[in-house]
Amino acid sequence: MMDLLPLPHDRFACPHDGVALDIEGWLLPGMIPFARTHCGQCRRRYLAHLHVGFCGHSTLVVEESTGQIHDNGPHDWYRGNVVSCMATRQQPSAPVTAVDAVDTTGKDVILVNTLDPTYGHNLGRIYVIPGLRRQYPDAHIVAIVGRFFAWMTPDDVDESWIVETSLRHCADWNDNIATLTAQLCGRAKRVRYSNLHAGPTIDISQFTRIKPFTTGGVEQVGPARIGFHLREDRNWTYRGLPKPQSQAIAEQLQLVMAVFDTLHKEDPEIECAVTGYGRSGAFPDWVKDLRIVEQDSAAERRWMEFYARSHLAVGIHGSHMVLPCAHAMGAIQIPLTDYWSTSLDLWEWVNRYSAQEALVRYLRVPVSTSLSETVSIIFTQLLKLQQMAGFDYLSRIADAADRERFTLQHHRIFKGGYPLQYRDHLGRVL
Amino acid sequence: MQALHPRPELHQFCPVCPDRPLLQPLGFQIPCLFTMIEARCPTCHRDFLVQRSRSSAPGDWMMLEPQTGKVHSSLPGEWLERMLDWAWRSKHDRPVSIETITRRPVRRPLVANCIEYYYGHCLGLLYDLPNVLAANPDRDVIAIVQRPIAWMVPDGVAELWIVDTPLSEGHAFSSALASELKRRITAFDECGIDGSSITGSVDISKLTRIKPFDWRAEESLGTPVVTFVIREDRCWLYRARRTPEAEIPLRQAQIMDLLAQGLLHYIPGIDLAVVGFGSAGKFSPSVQDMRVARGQRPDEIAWTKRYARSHIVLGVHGSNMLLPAAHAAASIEIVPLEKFVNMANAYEFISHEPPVDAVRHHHFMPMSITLTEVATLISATLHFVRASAFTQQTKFADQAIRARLHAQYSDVLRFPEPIIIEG
Repeated sequence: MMDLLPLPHDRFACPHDGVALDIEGWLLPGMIPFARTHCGQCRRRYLAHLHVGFCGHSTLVVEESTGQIHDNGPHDWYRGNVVSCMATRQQPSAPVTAVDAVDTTGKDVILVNTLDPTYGHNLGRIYVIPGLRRQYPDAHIVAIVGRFFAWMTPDDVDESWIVETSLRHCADWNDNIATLTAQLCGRAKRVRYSNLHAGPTIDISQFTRIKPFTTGGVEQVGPARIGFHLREDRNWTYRGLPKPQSQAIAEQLQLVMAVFDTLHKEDPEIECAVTGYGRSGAFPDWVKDLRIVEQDSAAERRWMEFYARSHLAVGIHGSHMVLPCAHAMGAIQIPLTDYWSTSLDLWEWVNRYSAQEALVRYLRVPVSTSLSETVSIIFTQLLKLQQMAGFDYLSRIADAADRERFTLQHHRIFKGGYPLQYRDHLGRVL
Repeated sequence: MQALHPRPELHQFCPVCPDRPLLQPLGFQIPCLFTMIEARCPTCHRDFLVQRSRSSAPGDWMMLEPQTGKVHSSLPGEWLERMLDWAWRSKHDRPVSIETITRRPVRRPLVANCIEYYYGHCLGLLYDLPNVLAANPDRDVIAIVQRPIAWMVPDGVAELWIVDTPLSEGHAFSSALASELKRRITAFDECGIDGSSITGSVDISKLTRIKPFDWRAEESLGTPVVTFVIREDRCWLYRARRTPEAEIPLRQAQIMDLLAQGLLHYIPGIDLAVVGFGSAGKFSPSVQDMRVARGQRPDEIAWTKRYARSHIVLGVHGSNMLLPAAHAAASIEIVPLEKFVNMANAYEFISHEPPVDAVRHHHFMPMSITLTEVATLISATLHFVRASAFTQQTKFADQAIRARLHAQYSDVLRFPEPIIIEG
């Protein structure tokens, strides 16, 4: 965390002559935290990115007169956010609503800025809050969140600034946030800017207020429940072959339906659903279509309620999969080849299990996997998870005869999965 | 612990009589991987051999009628029931020799039957021996083991009875083995039995006496070390291509060599080796070939030391991957479809890892994974492992060491690009 008063505890050098910059104050016009600085030698003025977050180990300064960016290495995608911020400086700022605002005079304030145009980074930033509360029980925690993310703000937050922006525009310059932070700094005794480190374990229900799938009851054993969490900007295509977007969307729906059809033939009792953003295609009556087109927090909460009752969440990898995976009993992600390195980011909630149990519950299947193999793995995994729930239920039955009866009734589950084949209309195994 | 001799402990009902009377224990026999309590029903007077469960779920039971060979169980049709049926039908009276290694005198014996058919199950039973020792400090533990795993019986076990039954016959009822073990056990005034294949956690170094991958050693930040583990009775059939059976081991070696060449190209300086049973094909000169032909005795210690230096071990799923995965920092198993049900079985050795690290370090991939994806996964996993080692080593280091490590190794934090290999 970085102390911001009376001046940010940070240091920068002039990119032109190397002289230490004089820090005059700080500015938070949205996502990007800047120090206002100038060079005592060449008199140039700079907005210098504070050494926090994704810029914690690199330096980035913006020359105010020219807009030129001088940096030594934040990732290109992060640099792009600074470019977006500066490019929108003259545009109207999104309104900001302060919720539960109180007089912060004399308070010790911690600012948690979750704004980021990457959904997963919003999550990563909000993850820090329960840890901060534990570590600083008396601090006044202010969370800055996009409207789309406000429902995830944990109870540990004292005050929220809800920005009426979409995910895509999270990096935009916002004078309203700058004004609120300036007012805050005028009153508070101490203001600190939170960093990104989230700590070892995350309880996802602190954010969604939905308890993840828990075994123990007979209703958790069956019927099998599976959800496909879809997005249309990144699609599951057959063996990962690249396709134009419209074709890719159509093919993804075909593949999902092929999986559902195959599972339904094996287990007519199975409950299937699709969630996520999109409107393409249609599903038969026995598949619940919970998709939406416009962001809707109530609908997102309903998705998580569905996953909290589901054995398996499946989908192409992306940060949209974090919450379904965190709530379902298990998950199968299909990562594109470029995403192996990040496909388990923000998974600290998995620490609620033992290491071995986590390995068994969560799988990744490469996008190049054949359809028959993918559906076989999904089928096997589904039964395995039901079996785990079954064993947990069995361990709670005291009477041996009842245990035997239950075991025989659920023989199919205890027997486990086996390879399946999916054939196309020509009879070819895909 | 259960009493075995002079009066075996048993609490099992007759599976035939409707009023389910309790069976009366008469004796015991250890003819194979099954430890059987000899019992009789006081009502119908049938004799039963009741299996002493060492892995089943609560409430599960299994027994057979020696007169008819009929198997009764709480899970009819399950693999273990089928195994018992097969074991009985495979019964033989061939002589069996037992070598005894005494580490200290045995006074109050407790036997642990670690005989098995599957190597992985053997390991599972060995995992529990340290727990058996800890739970029974007043007992002298005797491990009944087959030769291939005898080297891993942990210190503290008083005596080893090394049975010369091969793993492939570990299931079969052997009257010679049963009578010799009965003779040995009944020579004591009393004897108990313990051991389970369900273990909460295991410190693998208690079995192999080799310390697993050292995350705190500076070498973990240096040269990437990857080891391929090969077996020729279960091969990686690249993208499930149709291949004449005789050529399959050769094709597997070729595809692994192609993967090796790709890694050598994209990850300069990478240290690659191949271990396991097999001789088909040749690997690039830069790949250290530590394989032995099938039927030859390997240098298990040398192999295990290699795993313990490895950032990643990679091979087709099977119990042959357990020791590699237990000692290396990370593992990639390529899993035949029908084996996904067994995924992560006997992986108790990862219990000390934070779960979020475990899912980043241990992977189970289908057979049809492409070379590009395997190579990219290797590269991503190397990143996870080395970044994690870097964090562990820098977190509590003093400033000078931290500065040096940052200067020398901070590139391990950089996210890797995909590796493209044409297969």
